[in-house]
Parts: sequence; C-alpha cells; structure tokens
Amino acid sequence: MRKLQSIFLLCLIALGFASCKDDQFSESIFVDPVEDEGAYTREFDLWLKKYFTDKYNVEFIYKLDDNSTDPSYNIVPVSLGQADTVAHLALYLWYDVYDSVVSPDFLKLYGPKMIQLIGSPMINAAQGTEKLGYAEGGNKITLLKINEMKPDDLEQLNEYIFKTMHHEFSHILHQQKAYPKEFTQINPEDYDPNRWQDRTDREALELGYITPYASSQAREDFVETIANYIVKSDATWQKNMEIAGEYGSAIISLKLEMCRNWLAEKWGVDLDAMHAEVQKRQNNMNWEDIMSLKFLGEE
Amino acid sequence: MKTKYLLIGFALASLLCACNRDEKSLFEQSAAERAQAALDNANAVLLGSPTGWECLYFANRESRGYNLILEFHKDGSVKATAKNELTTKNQLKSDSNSVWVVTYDYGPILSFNTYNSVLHAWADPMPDGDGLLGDYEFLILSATPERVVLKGKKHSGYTILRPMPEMEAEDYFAACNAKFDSFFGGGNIMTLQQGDQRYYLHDGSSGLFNITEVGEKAVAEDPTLYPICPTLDGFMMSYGFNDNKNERLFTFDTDRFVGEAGSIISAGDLYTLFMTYIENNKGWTANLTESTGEFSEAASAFTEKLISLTADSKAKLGSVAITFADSINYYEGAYLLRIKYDYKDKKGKKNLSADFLIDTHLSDKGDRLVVEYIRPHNATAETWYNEPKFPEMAALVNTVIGTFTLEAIDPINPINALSMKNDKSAIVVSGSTNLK
Repeated sequence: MRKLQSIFLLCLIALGFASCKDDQFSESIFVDPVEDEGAYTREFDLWLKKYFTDKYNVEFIYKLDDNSTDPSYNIVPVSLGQADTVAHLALYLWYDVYDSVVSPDFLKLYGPKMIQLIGSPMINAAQGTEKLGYAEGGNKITLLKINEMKPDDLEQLNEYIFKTMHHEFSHILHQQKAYPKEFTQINPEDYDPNRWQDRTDREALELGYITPYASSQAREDFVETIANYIVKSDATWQKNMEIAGEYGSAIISLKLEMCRNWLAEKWGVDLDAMHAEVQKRQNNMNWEDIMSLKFLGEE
Repeated sequence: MKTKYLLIGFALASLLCACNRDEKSLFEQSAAERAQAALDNANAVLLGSPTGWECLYFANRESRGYNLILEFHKDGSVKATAKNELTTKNQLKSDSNSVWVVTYDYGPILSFNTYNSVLHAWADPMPDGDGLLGDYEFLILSATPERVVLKGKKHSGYTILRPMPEMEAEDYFAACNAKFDSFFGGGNIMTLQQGDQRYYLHDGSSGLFNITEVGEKAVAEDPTLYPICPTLDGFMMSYGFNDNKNERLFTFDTDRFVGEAGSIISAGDLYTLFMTYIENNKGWTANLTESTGEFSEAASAFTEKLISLTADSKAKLGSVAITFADSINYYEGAYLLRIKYDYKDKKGKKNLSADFLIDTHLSDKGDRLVVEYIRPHNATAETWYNEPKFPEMAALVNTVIGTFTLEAIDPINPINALSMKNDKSAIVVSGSTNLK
C-alpha cells in the first residue's frame, strides 16, 4: 500500500512538470506608472510612493478602476487637484496625528493597506441617502464625494473628509479587534438600518446617538461616536450634549467611555489626546504649510 | 483493496491528461499576446491623430449624441472640449488636467480614470444618483485610424471617434449645430429607404429618431428610439436600424443622406409628408413675402383694406396657416385655415384669428393636395367673412382653396420651405409646431 501511495505521489509530481513546455509568457501588459518617466502623473505618483507606500505601506489609489467598486452605483473618479489636496490632508489630520499621539509605527502596522478616493458620493436614491466612505476587509478605506470638497469650508471638510477618515479607520480597527459586546446592548431598541435617515440630528441625540447615522446599527454607532468625538470641537460636543438632554447625553457619554477604554486597552490609543491633537490642527489650518508638508518638518 | 485500484486508476488518468497535442489553437498568438496586440493597436490609433478626435458621445442607449473633441497625449493626459446646452451651458469649455489609459478587462478598455470636468459631466451621479447616465470606461470594439467604436461599460452607449478636421473648436461646434438644425429643425419627418423597405424618421430634432412605417405618426408610448449625433456633413447613429446595426454614418449628398451601407434618407414623398405633418398636431404657415400669384395679391389687398377700414396705418395680415384641429374646441379630424391679423382701434390693440373649417386630403392618385372649404368656424371668421365691406377676407380664403402640387424648396428639410402650387398661385409654406 505504501508503495502504491509513493507511485501515486510520483505521478502527481510528474503531472506538475507535464504542462505544455512550449507555452511562453509574454511581457506583462500592466505598466507601473511610476516606471513611466514621461507620465503626466509621475510627480504625484512618486510623491505618493514616498509619503504613503514607502512610509506607511499603503497604496493611495486615485485613478479609478470601476471594477473595484460596487457597480450598482454611478460614480465618477476624483480630480487630480482634489486627490492631491486630500493626500496632504490625510497626512496632516490622520497619519501624522497617529505618528505624534500614538507611535510612528501604529498606522504602518494597523492602518489600511489601501486608501481609495472617488470623486462622487454613492447615492441611494430610493433611500434618499449617500455614502461618504466605506471600509472593506480590515485593510481598505474608500473616501467618496471628494470632488465636492471645498478646502476653505472647515465644517464641510469635517463632514466629508476628516470625520469619514476617522469613521472608516475605526471600522478597520474593530474589524481587527472586536468592539465590546456591551456596547451593542446599551440602547439597541432604536437602531433602524432602513429608516435612520428620517431622523433629525436632534431626534438622534435625544435617543442617545451622536448622529442619525449612528442610530442605524451598533457598529456604525461605535465608530460615529469615536469619529465625532475626535473631529468635533469641545464647544460643539457640549452643545450636542445639551440638545441630547439628560437621557441622551448620559447614553452617549457611556458609549464614549466604552470607546475610550476599548481604544486604550486594545490599541494603546488615548482618545482624548487624539481629540486634542486633531482640534489643535483643525484650528491652525494653514494650507501653505499643509501643501508644503511643513508640519513634517519639510519646506 | 478498493482504494488500491482507485489510486492506480487515478495515477494512470493523471498521466493521460497531460498536454494533449491534438488540441489545436485557433489563434497563432497566445491570449496574452493578442491582448497586448489589441492594447498596442488602441494606443497607437488614439495617439495617431495629430488633430485629435471628433468624439460623437452617446451617454447611453437612450440619449442623443453630443459632440466633443478629445486629444490624447503620450504622457497619459487627455484634453476634452465641448459646447452644448446640457453640460457647458452653451459655453466652450476645455479641461486638460486628467488622464486616460488603455487597459485590458474582457477586451481592451479605454478608461478616463481621473475626473475631467468636460467628460465626466456626463457620468456624474449628482444630484439623484443617475445624473446623465454616461460612461467614462469604454470597451474598445474596434480601432482604426479612420474610426474608433467604443461601448460604455456600464450604460452601453456606443460612442464613435473620428479624426478631428483641422478647424477651431468653436467653429466645429457651431457648424455641427447649424447643420443639425437645418436638417432636423421644425420637426422634420424623413424617409429611410433600406433596401425595398421604407420608414418614417420622426423627431430628428430631439436627436432621437422615432421610426415608424411610412405615413404613421410617431410612436407615443414606450417607443424604441435611435440616438443620433450631428457631424459636419451629416449625422452618426449610435447604432443602426433593423438588420443594419453597424450602419452608423450618414453623409449628406445634394438632397439626401447616404448611409455607409447604402441606405438612403431623404425628404421622401411630399404629399404624405404634408399630411403626416399636420396630423402630428403641427401645421403649415404661409410665407407672405416669398409667395407669389393670386395668394400674394390677395394678402396685400387684405392688409390694404384692413388699414383703410380700421384707420390704423400699422394694421396688417399676420399669418395664414393650415393646421390640424384636434382640440376639444374643434371637430375631431377636421382641419383649420387660420388667418391672423392685428390692428389698433379706440379700445386698444386687437389680435384676431379667423378660423375656417376646411378639409385637406390627397387626390385619389396621391399626387395632388386638395383643400376644400367647409365654413367659418369661429365668431371672428363668421363676422368678417360675411362683412360686405371686407370681401378681401373671402378672397384670401379662396386662394388657399383648390388643388395644389407640392414642390420642396429645401430638398432635405421641406419643413423649412415648401411650395403649394396651382395655376393661380405659388404659396410658400413652412412647418410650424405651435399654431394654437
């Protein structure tokens, strides 16, 4: 029997070598844009390679391949100008924040491996909603509606870009280490994945959700709590707590405390320090310094 | 023991299934080599036109075509230029800060993979998730120096590129639009001759042919529409009609369009056109200055008498028109002769319409237009037609009553100018879409 098994194995190995030896592979049909010295986007591609790929092991995707998105949505690519701006903003308000507050290796180890930009939102006309971002498989973040970004409108930047960055990154983190089960049991009765968009900001706050979207389901609630706490000023947060009232604010505070503990225990991230650093940077936005990477010590 | 035989059998089978030399490749090159050849060809063709490309862009299978100009650059950038009411508010607009790439998916794909404000305006989903339902990734169906045929990946519109003639962008768009208006303006109905078969092409001015049997009205409910896009010397269909799916380009020649597969589009039979046009709730308005003979004399006499009767030197005959009378105010199926005129009296400005019921039909042989008087149809017509001091009204009406031959003055679009002739008059008429 042993002999037979050996023959069988030998046959299988032989089969491995028996493929058509005349087959030849032609050169790859894919051209690395960075290798193309005359490419229109070469300078930007090299910049991305230096500041994202080499430093954080992340691919920054701004050239859209429709195959990599949900085909049921109509979308358009991001413009080169907006991609450039968002790349700088991502370094200023996301990557360098983690480098400063947590550790220079944190995002290299746990951050997304791909960041994809898309120019338009993904609009669900039937529900009357639009997607501003999403995270996939614990390693890819897609930021949407980038073409609509107005660099001089901090509130819009917060809503479309910064909050979405922290929101989606929090998804990446909990996709790697689960968030506390207890979080899902705080006030699950009002989660409504289909009708959350019908709630006003006030209604959501009074029910104990930081935003209407947070009231869609527990995992969105969890990351919305983190993202909103990071990007909202103390005054705005306080105002929201007042609107939420005694019941709502107590619930949101409880959720925030769970988020704070989870980030500290599972990831070694100090949420309050993150909040303080992001607020400091948001309040001192200097586009010239951001685009020249002065905050990284470059001129 | 059973296992032993199974293993032996499997081992023998595995040896037999190695490279089968009897299987012949249909192609001389490997799949990868053929893919590479398709990419090389597409790149070479797109970069090969020194003046760029006239892009006849069909966002999807249900939208009319629009003209763009594309210039592909070797560094991967692309310049797109357009001027239309839909995406550029009729302003000439160019954007050259974006890139293109030819890649391979289930065939060679041309992708404009960063945002270009001219090109992607057709695909932007704002504000309802659909936008104009256009594409920016295309399957390259064929690519030759003379023509590139693209098919949108998501919305399946066919878009055609042809080498751009040497001319300024502004002039190109103006010329295309002017041709388009002259060919299709006024709701022209054309006749398509495809082999022995003839069809009517309605609604060309919308950029979407509504195709029917000869003499029939445009299909109103859920019609299959055939998108077209103007060119400098004709138009391009996104996809051809009937069996001629690839017959796209139609070039204007003297008095007709000649399709690349031999189909002919012409003004067709004027008599049928005349009747079909008014039955589509439109009408024919006389050109008072171009017309000659008794009609012209009666029109002048009408105005002169109107001036003397009203003592208003600016009083005048406004228009004389034949139209279909299908509203609830009229008898179903009858036609109207509508004479409009205006004057000023003590009570102010008067704009009057004298409406007469007429019957309009073709002669038995279909080679004459017959217009028969029935009676006045509104109070104005009744009063003025029977006013002894104003016999010019009845005289004018009578010049339009009779049997006429029809001659096209504009050979491809008789809606622009058509002559109703008899031995007394030549009444030049043009199509009007709103006579009510």
